[in-house]
Parts: sequence; C-alpha cells; structure tokens
Amino acid sequence: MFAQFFKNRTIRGFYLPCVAALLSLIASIIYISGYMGSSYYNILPFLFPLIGAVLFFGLIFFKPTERFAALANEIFTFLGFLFFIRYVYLYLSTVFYDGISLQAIANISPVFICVLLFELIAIVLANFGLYIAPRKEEKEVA
Amino acid sequence: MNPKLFSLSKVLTNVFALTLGILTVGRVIALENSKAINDALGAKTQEVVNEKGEPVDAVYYSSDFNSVKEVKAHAREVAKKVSDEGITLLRNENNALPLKSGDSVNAYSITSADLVYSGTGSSASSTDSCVTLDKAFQEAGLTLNKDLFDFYTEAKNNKTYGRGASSGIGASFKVQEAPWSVLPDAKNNSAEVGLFIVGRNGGEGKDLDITQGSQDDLTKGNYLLLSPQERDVLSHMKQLKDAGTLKKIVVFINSANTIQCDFEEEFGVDALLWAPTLGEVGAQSFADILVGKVNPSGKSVDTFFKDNSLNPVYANFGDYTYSGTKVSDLMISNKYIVYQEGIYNGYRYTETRYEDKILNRANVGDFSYGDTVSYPFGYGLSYSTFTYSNFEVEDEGDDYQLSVDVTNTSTSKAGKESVQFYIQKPYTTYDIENGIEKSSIDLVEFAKTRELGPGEKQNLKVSVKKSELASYDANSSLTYILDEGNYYFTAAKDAHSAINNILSAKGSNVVGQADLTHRITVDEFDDVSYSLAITDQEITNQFDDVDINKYEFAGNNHVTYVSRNNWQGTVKFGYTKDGNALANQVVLTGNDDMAADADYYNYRGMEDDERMDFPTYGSTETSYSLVDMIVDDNGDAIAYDDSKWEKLLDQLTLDEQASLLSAGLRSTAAVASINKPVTIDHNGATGPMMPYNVSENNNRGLAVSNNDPDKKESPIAYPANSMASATYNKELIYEYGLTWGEDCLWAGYSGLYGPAVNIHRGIYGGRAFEYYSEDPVLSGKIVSEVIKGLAKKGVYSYLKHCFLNDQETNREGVNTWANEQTIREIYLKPFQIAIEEGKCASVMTGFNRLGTIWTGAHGFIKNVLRGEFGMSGIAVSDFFHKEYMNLSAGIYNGNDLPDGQANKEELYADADTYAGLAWEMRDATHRLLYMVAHSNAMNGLAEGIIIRDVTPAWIVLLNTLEIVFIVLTVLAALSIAVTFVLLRIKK
Repeated sequence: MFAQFFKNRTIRGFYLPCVAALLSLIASIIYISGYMGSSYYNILPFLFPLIGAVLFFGLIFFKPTERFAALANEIFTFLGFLFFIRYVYLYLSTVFYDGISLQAIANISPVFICVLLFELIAIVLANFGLYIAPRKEEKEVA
Repeated sequence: MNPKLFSLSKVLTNVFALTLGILTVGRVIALENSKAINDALGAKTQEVVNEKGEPVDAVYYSSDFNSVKEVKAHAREVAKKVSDEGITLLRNENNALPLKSGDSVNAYSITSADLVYSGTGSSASSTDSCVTLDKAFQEAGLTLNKDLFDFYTEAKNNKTYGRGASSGIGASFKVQEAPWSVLPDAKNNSAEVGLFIVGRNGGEGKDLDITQGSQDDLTKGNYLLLSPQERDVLSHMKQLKDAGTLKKIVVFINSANTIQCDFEEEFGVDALLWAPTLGEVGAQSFADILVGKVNPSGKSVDTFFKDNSLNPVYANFGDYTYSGTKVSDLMISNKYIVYQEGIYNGYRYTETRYEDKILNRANVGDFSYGDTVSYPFGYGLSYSTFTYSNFEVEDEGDDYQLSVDVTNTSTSKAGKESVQFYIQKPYTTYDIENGIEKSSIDLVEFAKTRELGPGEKQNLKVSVKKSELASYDANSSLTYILDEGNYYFTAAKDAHSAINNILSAKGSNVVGQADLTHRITVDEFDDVSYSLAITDQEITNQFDDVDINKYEFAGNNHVTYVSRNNWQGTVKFGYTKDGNALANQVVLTGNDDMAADADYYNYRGMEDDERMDFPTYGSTETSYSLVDMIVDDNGDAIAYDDSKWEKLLDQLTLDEQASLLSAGLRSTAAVASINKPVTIDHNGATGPMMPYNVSENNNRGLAVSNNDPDKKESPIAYPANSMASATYNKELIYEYGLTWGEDCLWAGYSGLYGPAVNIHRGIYGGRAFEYYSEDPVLSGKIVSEVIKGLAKKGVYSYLKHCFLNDQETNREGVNTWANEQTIREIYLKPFQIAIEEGKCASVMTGFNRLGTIWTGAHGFIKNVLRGEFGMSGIAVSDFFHKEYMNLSAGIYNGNDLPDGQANKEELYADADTYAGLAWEMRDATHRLLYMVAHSNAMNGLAEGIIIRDVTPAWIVLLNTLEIVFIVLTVLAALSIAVTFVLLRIKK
C-alpha cells in the first residue's frame, strides 16, 4: 500500500508541495519557539501553516481529495506568512533604528531569517501543486 | 470550452489573490504607520474650517519678527553672544592672547578647514551656512596662511584626510589627521601664531572609543587623546617655535567631548581654548576672542582630566552582559551598567579626594590632584583679572541670600565674570554608618556680572534654598536629612578654588581665600524638615528597585559603591594609562526572578488594580471644544482641576482616547470632535532644526501661513548645549530660549523634543554635545532658562532623556543600576530643577531600563516627577520600540504617549478590560489636552473655527486598490468555477 501511495507521483505536483508543507510546518515551529513571550508573538503565524500542513497531508492521502491538498497548503501557508509579516515587521525597525549597515544586517535574528526564508520557499513550492497534478495520469490500456 | 482558459483562470486567481493578500497586510501596516507616511509625503490630515466665515483674532502667542529672515538674523545675533560668552580660555601663558589685528596665523590640522559645527544623530543641524575659519579670521583682521588652509580644504573635499566622523545615528568616529610630511612647504612660513585645532565629534547611537590607547589615526584608538599624527604635527610646530619661525602656539579644542589635556608643556602651548560644537557663528566668536574684540568669560562645564584613565567612572562604562540566566531577550535588555562611583562623578570625585588627601583622611590611598586634573570644573580665564570680596550670607527664612562683590582689577580690559557658589556639607559618622556620601563641594548657584570696566565693581546676589543643605539618606531615614555639623558656603572662580577656600577656612595650608567662606553650624540631626516635597508629598525611597543592593530579586548580586571613607578600597579604574582594559566592572548575574520582572507583559500593577467602574465615554451632555478650556467667561485661566475639564473628557470616546495616546511620532494627533488640532512636536535637543515649512501639510507655523519666501530654509545651526552652560549666564540663556521659541513659532512646532539634560557621566558619551555638564545644578538651572524662553512662545519642552540614559552603548534596553542618593542628587536633579524652577511641563523617558524596568513603565513618573516635583504635562517615550516598551504598562505607570505609532487595538482592548488603565488613559488625555490648550497650537483657533479630519490621498488609493483586487479575485475565481463546469459538460 505504501508503495502504491507513491506510485506515479510527480515531482512538481506532489514532492515539491510535500516539501512546502514540511517547510511551513518547520517555520511555524521556529516562530513559536523564537517569539513566544515577546511582543511579536501571535498564535496566527503559527496556527495557519500548521493547519495548512495538516490539511495537505490529510487531503493528499485520499485520491478524491488529493487535488485540493496543494490549494489548502498554499492558502494557509500564505496566510501564515502574511500574519508573520504583520506581527514581526516592527522588529526590522529596531534592527535598523541606528541606520542600515552591514553590522545591523548581520545582527538580524536567525529566527527571523529562517521563518521568512522557509515560508517564502514554501509558498513558491506549494504553488507548483496548484498547476501540476500530484500523480501522473494513468494511461488507459486499450 | 478551451482548457487553456481554465488554466488562465487559475493563474489569474492565484496572482490576484496573492496580490490582494499582500495589499491587505501592506495596508494594515501602512495604516499603523500612517503618521510617518503622512510626514514623509507631506500629506494633509486635518483642515481648519471657519464656519462663520468672519476673520478671527486668535493669537495666543505671537512673534516679535515679521519674516524668517528677521528670525534667523536675530538668532545669529543671540547665538553669537552665547558663543562669545561660552568659549573658554583655559591657558594663556605670558598673555599670549589676545593677538593683534593683522597678525599672521598658520592653522594646522584638518579641522581648521572642517570645524565641528554640530554633532550627529537626531539633533544634527544643517551646517551649510556655518561660518568657516578663513571667513571668520578675515572678518577679525587675522591673516591666515592661505596655502596651508587650501591644502586642508582640498584634503577635506577629496577625503584624503578628515575628521572621520560620519553622519547619522551610530556614526563612526575616527581621527584622520594629515601628517607633517604631507603638508605643503607653507607649513614652514614664519607667523605670529601656529594654531592647532583638535576636532572631535560625537552623536547619537555610539559612544566614543575609550578602551585602546592612541594607536592609529584611521581605525582605532582612544578618541579623546591626541592621535600620533596630531602629536607629530604639534612636535614640528614646537620645533618651528623653538627656531623662532612661530612666535606662539595656540591650541583650540573644538569638541563637546573634552580632550585629555596632558600635552601643553610637551608641545610648548602658549594658549589653550575650548569650545564644543560651534554652530553657525561660533567661529566668529573664536576669532573675535583671539583678537580681543571679545573678552572671554566662559568657564568649563566638565573637569578636564590630565589622565582620563584616572576617572573611576570608566570602570563601569560600556558593554556588560549578565552572566547566568538571561534577564531578557527583548532587544538589548540582557545588558547592564552599574553607577558604582555613586555621586563621585567629575569634580565631586577629584575635589573630594583632594580634600581628603590634604586632610590625610584614612584610606585616601594614592592620589595626586596634579596628575589627575588639568583644568577643574568651572575654570576659565579672561583678559581681565577679577577679585572677589565682601562675601556675605544672610538667613532669609527658607533661603539663604549669598552676596559677593566682584571687581575688575585690570587696567584696560572690560570683561564679565561668572561667580560660582558652592556648599560643603559635613561628612559625619552617621553618614559613614548609613552609606551616605558627601562631596567636598557641591555647586548650588552661580551668577554673572554685567560687563565691568577696569576698576568697576558689582555686587552679585543669589538665593539658595535651605534644602540644598540636605542629603538623601536611602538607608535609614529614607528621606532627606540634615546632618549636624559645620556647613560652609563659598564664592569661587572654579571648583578647585572653592575647596581651597574652604580648606583655608579650616586652617589648611593651601592657596585659598578663607574670607570667601561662610560657616553655618547645625546643632541637631534633622530628618523631618526636608522630608516633604514642594507638592507636600512625603519624600521617601522610590528607587529601591534600581539599587542592586536593595532590589528584591537581586539574588547574590551586590555592589560596593565608591565611598570617601575608603577611597583606596572602593575606587576602581577601567583601564591603564596605556589603554589596556581592566576588568574592574561590577559583575552581575541574572536570575529567573529578574527575568520575570523584566518581562514585556509585566504590567506593574495594572492587572491588580481594584478599580472596577469605567469612566464616562461619549457624553453628549456638553459639546466643548479645546479652545473653550483656555479661559472662562471672565477671561481667567481655567485650572487643570476645573470641573469643565471633566465634562470635556466625558465627551471623548475610548476609541478617540486610544487613537490619541497610541500615536505620537513627533506630534500629538488631532481629535476632531473637540477641535483639538494636530501638533508638531519635533526633534531639537540643541535647538529646532527642521525647515520652517515642516508643518506645511497641516498649515501650521508662521512661515507657512505667511507664505514666507524663505520658508524652505532651516533654522540656524545652534552650538552645543554645553556652550550655553559654559556662559554661566541665565539672562542670556533665557534670551536664547526665546530665539528657539521664535523658530518653533515660525516652523509650527508646538512641542520640542528637547532640550536634553542627561549628565556627562565621564566624557565619552556620544551625545555629550546635547547635554549641558557633569554638574546637575548647572545643567538644571541653565536648561530651565531655555525652557522658560520656549514657554514664552507657547512651546512645551519634552526634557529628555529621563533618566540614567547617560551612555549610548546598549541604550535600547540596558538595565541601569544606581543607588537612590546618586539618582536624586545627581542624575534626576537637573530634571527636578527644570520642573520645579523652569516649570518644565513634560519629559521624554529614556530608552534604558531603571533596574530591569523600562523607564516608561517605572512608577517614578507618577510618584516622583508628578508626585514630588509637580510636573504638569506628559511623558513621551523615546522612539517607540514595541519589542520592549509595553504601551499599556507605560500609560498605566505614567508614560502618556509613544514617540511612534503603537498598536491602538491592543491599547483599546486593555482599556476595555482594565478600569484602572481606562482611568489612567483619561488622566493622560487630560494632561495632554491641558498642555496643548496652553500652547501655540491654539493660535488661530476660536469659537466658530472647527477642525475636520482629512483622509490623505494615499489611503484613498490603498482602499480603492484593495476593493479592485477583491473584485478581480472574485471574478477570476468565478471564472474557474464556470470554466470547470463547462469543461465537465463538454466531457
């Protein structure tokens, strides 16, 4: 069954969205561990990617729903990203308060960079799933 | 149905949805920062409508001038007087100065072509119109070596050499002097004077380098020592002098951060002058002093150390991180600084240890005054000589009146003289047992003569409150005490003369004038007479949580403060003479309790507030406008506690209050329902510096309303604030404050983010040019005059940065620790004087934390600034960092407004939940409105004039775009559905 599940899966329609779901999940965990207790914390940047990942893996598992998996992932990852920006953007004003410099850039928190990068990559990768089917169409044998 | 159409619909939906998402979040963020965007775009946010259509005469604060040109001309005149009286002559061997008209001058150093006019950062002024040295010398009749000056000018323009101070916040400061070998042959021209200018700059965001010796002109080195290249040039100048090519060597220190003065003998310096940043016309004053057109009368505002490494402040100045548990992750909050030296900053250290050395006090240790100090606090020479006589002290109830005769004993030169009045309090057994420290002298007052002709005499009188005799006892009586014992008043030329006068009176064999002292004996210890504030609030400890020895969560942390009872055991130094850092800092360890105390969500009492009833909101019982709150029907001023104010406050909704109190980026917001105008409260610690049309979008300021042809110009560059304090001339500085007020009227400022009155704790602080002195009394009394002048023009001052914000390193969140006596007698004192004597209405709180608590959320604003000192206005934060500044906690504890735009929804939600916060917001609104009602913001407002909110065009555009993309997204999504169905049907 396991082998059957991966049979005929496409790289751009299945594997890349899988990576996207995992990345957004990781990003949400980094966010909550890095920002909980600070003024930049809010549950939404954590919750949306989590929901997206859960929905993705839930929907992709069943053939009738698999075509909606990437869409769900894209929507929730994107919402998570938007809320992350919404709640954390002021952090940049503190980093660059004394002016934009190489030193200031070097001082940007790795947590911020990781969450930002992972979510952006996740959005791009999840996008492929919107246009490419998760599995190759089985050719009908005459 | 074409499948390509289906794919196209998907692509379009995706693109539109993504764009809509970005647009929506972008719009939310933009609206949160609308104030900054409006400022940047010059967008109009309010309009003033005259409902009656009749002209109104509503000028509450008027200008004495008719144009920007006149305002600036007057400002130059006053600034020139300030520089004339502020530039300080420190050395004048064999009357090397004044020079004669026509004397030739070889000016060496890159600074000769690049004088230091202004510091850097948010108080940096436009220096385009500043008078250059060559122009100033030409006007004064001095002949400048042109080839040499041209070389330096070209080097500056080509950036071959330079002063190395970049502009902006956090600028880097380097010395980049041109070595002797590259100077043109004209360097060897014979001249009357070889002038060397030592230029140093400083500014916001960065302290000056202290930890390394003078090693390198370009990248590193103790910035306040002469660099190797500078020493090289000076040594060649001395050779020229020895050879007779130069007759005299004059050195001019052009730096608000005083230079270590250990070079005069080595390089044969005949005359030494000091001035901080010069502003637009300071160079003219310098030239006029050189030729004697102006007789110098400035006196130093800081102690000039001969060896900066012998200043104990630097053992705890810089970057220190807690060991152990992280106290906070929020910005720079895991850093700390301990004021281990206590009250012994500047002359309080040097003159006190000097007295103890003279008197052979036990444990005085190894101390040589001559090796430590070059020029004491308050020191300055004149071309005239002055003598003091007939010093008298009269008891006048709550005050003492001190008087002294000052005589100009010179035969040819008219001049002015600043007299300083000091007090010595007894250092008693009680003090030693209870950890109270006493400086051997404290400045209590000062006064300046008019210009006295040769032989002319003037009697100067000052009043000193008896409370100046008291000291703060944080450990036993927990209030101000009066020790029993002998107190001495003295009139003196400087701090060192003061202690010598007192030592003479005590019988020591020093050069002093015992007849310039007056002894008062207190027979009984008294801890009652000075325990009440001017507001009648009982004075008691308010800063136990800032003293690590008293802080309840200190754990095992402890600090041994410097004590004159044991100098050698308690004084630590930060580095060796060679510049090697010594690890003598106080080491503090963080713990979980400190971390909990520092937590962002520690509301400091808000959640435990027992008030349950909420204020009235949105009342329609009355419909007052703000203009109705200025005077009553009889023309009498409406008091702050008048019931009419309560009715006006009842009219406001919670939403209006949250909007007002969450947005304060260099302004206060408009409240249309009560016709409260937007105000411009802009930067200007060393004077207003924004262009006169800065408020054009809201049609504020005379330059805009008169459509002045010069409205795009900026006010003149004013000199550093230490130039003002160096004048020791209150009357002049009041006039100076008036000129700032005129600038504000013309530029539409109602509030000024300044002046700044932190203490020169050591002299490596980046913002020294913004601050007045190492002494709190000089700082407080001079700044009071500036504030009075501003107030006369309807400008409220936000005195900053309150307080213990005395270094730039780690300023955003650094935990500052000091004991209560030090806080009250040194670092908070200038704010106290400005509020009590200068009637300063408002302050800006510091970036730092007091102990572990952000200044804005510490209760001192309520309990001390308002409770004890009687501050009537508001406290605004420094630039609002949401990361560690909690707005609700701030407002609840007295910080009324953020300098920035905070989250209004969060404030609204908190105020909707906690009645205590809701009441504090009402009080904050009351204070803010009262302050604005009594400012020039009300000019032009009268009955029948209403204020309407205007939605800026960029907001309309964003709203429209959002609607467009919602429609496009929906249409594209529908097209997916339609094409999908059609494809299915087709199949």
